[in-house]
Amino acid sequence: MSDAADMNAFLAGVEKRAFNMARFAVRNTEDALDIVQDTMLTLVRRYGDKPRDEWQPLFYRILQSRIADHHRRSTLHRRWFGWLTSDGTEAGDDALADAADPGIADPSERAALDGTVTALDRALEALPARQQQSFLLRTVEGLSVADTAAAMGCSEGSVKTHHSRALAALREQLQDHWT
Amino acid sequence: MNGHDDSGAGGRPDEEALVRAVRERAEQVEPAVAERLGQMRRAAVAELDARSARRAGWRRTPVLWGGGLAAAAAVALTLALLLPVTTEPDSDPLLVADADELEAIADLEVLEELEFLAWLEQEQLDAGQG
Repeated sequence: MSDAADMNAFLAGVEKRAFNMARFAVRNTEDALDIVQDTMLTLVRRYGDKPRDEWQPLFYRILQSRIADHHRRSTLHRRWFGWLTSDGTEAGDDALADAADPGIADPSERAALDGTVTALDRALEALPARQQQSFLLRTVEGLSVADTAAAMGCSEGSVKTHHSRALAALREQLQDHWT
Repeated sequence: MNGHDDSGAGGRPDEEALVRAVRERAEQVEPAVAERLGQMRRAAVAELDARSARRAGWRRTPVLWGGGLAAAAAVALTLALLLPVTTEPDSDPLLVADADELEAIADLEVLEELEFLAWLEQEQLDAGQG
């Protein structure tokens, strides 16, 4: 199989999950699509020559980087324009951690995303960003703790902590559905 | 890809159901979104395809050059074999013939001179007797 055919098969296999991962993180379909597009192009341009088994961790490292960039820009935007509705608090330097604000998501916006907003969607979106992403990378993508840590730019211990907290939060929020 | 079990699932029935539900949800997108994702993928893969084609072109170029040089060498060798063999200037038959001729002419002049001397001697003898 040629490099292009391999890459096509790989991207076809991850694109939907990557989109949902980005959408849960940024809560906006267009922004999520932009993030996935940028991730695809970056993988092809910079790492297309790498062995295929390296593509998955690289792809999710890029995706996480783009999600963090999005949150960073949003944080910056809030810093400059947030005074209009500011509650006096300041955002920190960790864009992903700062993004963990479940109250931001507008229910009507969420409902408009795909028209299929479920309790699961709401519970996932409500997770703090790092918990959400570590949970999705580990659970949905099946990345190892080490690869998840590399993708998120944090320690393996942090991944384990985020993952276990995410699992506990989801179980609590969704207990009516799965008990 | 997402099939292996190193996923952090706790193994409890409710957790397994949760993980299964999340995995199923993560594969679901609106048809319009799926179409756009496909377009993005094809655009990205086209870049890789174009790059591969360019690299293949660069790889083929030296082969073409090598083939051209080989053809030129073959033509030169053929011409060298088919064209008449040139001789060294010293062994030019024309020049050799000229030399022989000159030598012959020189010999003739000597003979004529000898004959002239002989005739002159005979004339002097005749004059002395007369």
